[in-house]
Amino acid sequence: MTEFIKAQKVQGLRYECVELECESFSLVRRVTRKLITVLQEVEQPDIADHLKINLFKTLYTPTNNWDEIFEDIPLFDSEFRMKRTHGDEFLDLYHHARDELDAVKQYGSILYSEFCKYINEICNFDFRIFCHRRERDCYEELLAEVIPYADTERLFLHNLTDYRNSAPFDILIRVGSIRSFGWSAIPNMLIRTPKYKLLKQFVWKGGLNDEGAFVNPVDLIGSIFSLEPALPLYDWYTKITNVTSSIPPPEIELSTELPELEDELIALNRGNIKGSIPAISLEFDCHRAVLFRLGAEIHIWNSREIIFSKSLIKIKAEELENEINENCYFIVTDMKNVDVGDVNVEISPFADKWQQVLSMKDTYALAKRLKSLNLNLKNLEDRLWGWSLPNDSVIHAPQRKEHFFILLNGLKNELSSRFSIAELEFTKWCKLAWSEISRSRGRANLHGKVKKEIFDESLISVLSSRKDEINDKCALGQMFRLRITSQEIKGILSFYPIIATESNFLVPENKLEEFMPLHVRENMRL
Amino acid sequence: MNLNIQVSELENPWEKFPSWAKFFFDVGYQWKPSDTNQIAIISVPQKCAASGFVALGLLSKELEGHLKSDQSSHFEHLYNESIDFLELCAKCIIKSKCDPSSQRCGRTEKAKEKFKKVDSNRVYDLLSVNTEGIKVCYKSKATKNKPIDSLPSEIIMPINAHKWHFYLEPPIKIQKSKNLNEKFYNSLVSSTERINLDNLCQSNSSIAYVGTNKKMTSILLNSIFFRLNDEEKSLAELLTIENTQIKRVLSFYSSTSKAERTGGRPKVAVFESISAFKLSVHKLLNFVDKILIVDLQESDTKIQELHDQISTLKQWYEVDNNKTGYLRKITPCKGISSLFLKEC
Repeated sequence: MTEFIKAQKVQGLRYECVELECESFSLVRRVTRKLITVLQEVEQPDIADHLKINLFKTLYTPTNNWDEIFEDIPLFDSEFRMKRTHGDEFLDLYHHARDELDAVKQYGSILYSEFCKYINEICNFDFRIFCHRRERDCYEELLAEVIPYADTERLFLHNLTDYRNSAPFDILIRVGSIRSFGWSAIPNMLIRTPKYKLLKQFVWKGGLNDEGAFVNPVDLIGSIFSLEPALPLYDWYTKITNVTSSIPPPEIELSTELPELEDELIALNRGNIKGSIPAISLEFDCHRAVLFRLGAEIHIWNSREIIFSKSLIKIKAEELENEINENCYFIVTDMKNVDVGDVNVEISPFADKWQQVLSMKDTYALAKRLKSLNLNLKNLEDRLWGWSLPNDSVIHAPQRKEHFFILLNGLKNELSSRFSIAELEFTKWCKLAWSEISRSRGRANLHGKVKKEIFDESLISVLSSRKDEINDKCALGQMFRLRITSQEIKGILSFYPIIATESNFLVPENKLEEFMPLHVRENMRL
Repeated sequence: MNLNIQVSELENPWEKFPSWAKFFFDVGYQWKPSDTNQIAIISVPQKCAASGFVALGLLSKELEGHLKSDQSSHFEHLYNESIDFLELCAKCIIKSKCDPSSQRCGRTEKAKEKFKKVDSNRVYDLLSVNTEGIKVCYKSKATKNKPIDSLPSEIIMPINAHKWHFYLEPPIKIQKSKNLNEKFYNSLVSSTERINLDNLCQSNSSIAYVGTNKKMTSILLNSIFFRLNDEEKSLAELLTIENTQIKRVLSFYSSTSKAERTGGRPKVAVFESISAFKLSVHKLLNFVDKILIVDLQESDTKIQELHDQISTLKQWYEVDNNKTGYLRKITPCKGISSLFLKEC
């Protein structure tokens, strides 16, 4: 901390932003947005999502290959199909975009040239590039051209762990907006805890930064209580430069009929969230991702660890944000259940009595009577029948205490006469019957937990015994499977290399823990 | 504060008490209890032992003046635990592993049943509890098969409770000795005050230190060393969280969701991180003053979680503008920001 304060006093912090403007690219983006809107309207969401991701890729990387926008989408391979499916207007828009892309190809991307120029200038400084792991190839190609003999391995930061573990350096380079949400998000922590002297940003005109990233979170909490507006966390010496492309402006005028908003992320993601459960995403290098609800426990293999324990292998999804590194693998377990025997309700003197009375009753008449006593449950007749069934691992009974008491009140007369329960004793009898149910539920719950624990322990022992074999396979950096045939557990474990974790997703329940393509996941981003 | 005391952080060279450490120490040392609950949230630009310094400030203040210890409530505490053991744990149907959440017995962990006398190595078993006190007996190897009634027993009463404590927990009081770090504490407090030596011999639970997990807390608190006249002590030792017979701080860890020892109810709790703050709803920490240190290196998810957690307090708390303003004014560096909330 003392070192941090000393460094802060000596050097100060600089923020330099290069805002790039290219009318041709701007037109391509607007046209692509229009195409996406058309595709969404005609209910071709998959193609629209795919196109959206291709557009984002060109915005957040210094690529020279803008043709990528329409790449890998079969619709754009055939003009005939485009015209037949979406009409002349759609095809015209596509042609406009294509013309501009050809122009850009001829002159080259301004982002690419500015980025290369800057890397040339600073190649003797200690700099880092913060990018998503999937974007790394693009940077590596570029660096290989500009500084061919440099060791580029140490230049990349992809997540919080990389940043926390890195020693202080001179310059942090970021391409795209600074915000902790959306495609190619950057953790605000990079701005909150600077380990660098200069933050250099390249951004297309219209890309918006998240101003909250530059504010102390404690001040933001203060604003909940109407404390005065928060000041910037640090004193940044800011310099913003505008650079315009030399590509001749496009001849056509399309802007009036297209969305005005320049910021693609905000324009395309507005009102598009499909889900309700907050989730964390794990992304794999097969262009797929899995979403987990917050608090879900998942199995992870980290080939860096020497000793394995339960806390290292099974962790909560949200904690992955702190733990993730390039050696992390997500383990999918397809196993035969561990046999630890069953738990059964052994002695249940109270349940035996009220269930016996319940089984003899006419469920239709009883349901009617219970409804009059305010037991408003759906399918009450079926439930009454279910509660009278023989108990297995747990006593079958209403979930809530008040519902159970209403049920027993409905059976009061028969219970009192058959088992000689005194009027004054009845409430006490009901309470004891309820505590019997609670106990049986507690025991069943504990049994489930024990079963889970035994599975985890068996898994750890199996993984530890085959540690070297797994680490050898991990070294290849690809997905692999492992057949387990130990005495305790049998089945197949699949290991998926995790390339990123991201938060801020809202997911429908049925999509949780399901492998999905990235463009499907993007629709669930908050 | 004595200017001779030196501090070393992460094995860096010795230096005078650094300004940032002094800031956090003063937050604790100048903490004033109030009729209503208070919450202070302070950010730090990187992981450091700020929470340890706040706790040390609170502890130094606590050691001044009149006698403060858990002694007055000690018998009550032993008595309540014993009753809980006999009424709940001894009758519990699940013998293999204590799981209060599924049993819904109202406890957070198994009640204690083994006792120890301060000046003896013998471990005593709980026999019964009555109006007279707590009856305990000693089973040796030779007598372990004998009927319990025939074993020699002792009774723990309010008058002799200070000689007893639970097995594996610190004693409530020890004899005065040289190893109590008196000169370190005296060098930390203001020049007009002195530490009460009696306080140094007593276990106390009025300050709670809530860490994320034991290992992390140990690393954090052992990253700071103090030196005074060639003698060196770590922050963990001065806080009596590690390597000490007496415990003057009640430590909790959010990884286990429970206190490291049993004790009285704390008055102030220092939370080391946002993860630790999840334990603020623990029944012992629910209605106490809270000081939370927010490491700005935490992930955005954690920061958002805290934001949401504090948002729920809006209806009960308001900003104390004077204290917030004062703390912001004396902030030693950028990145440290404070917010002071009081119950309204």
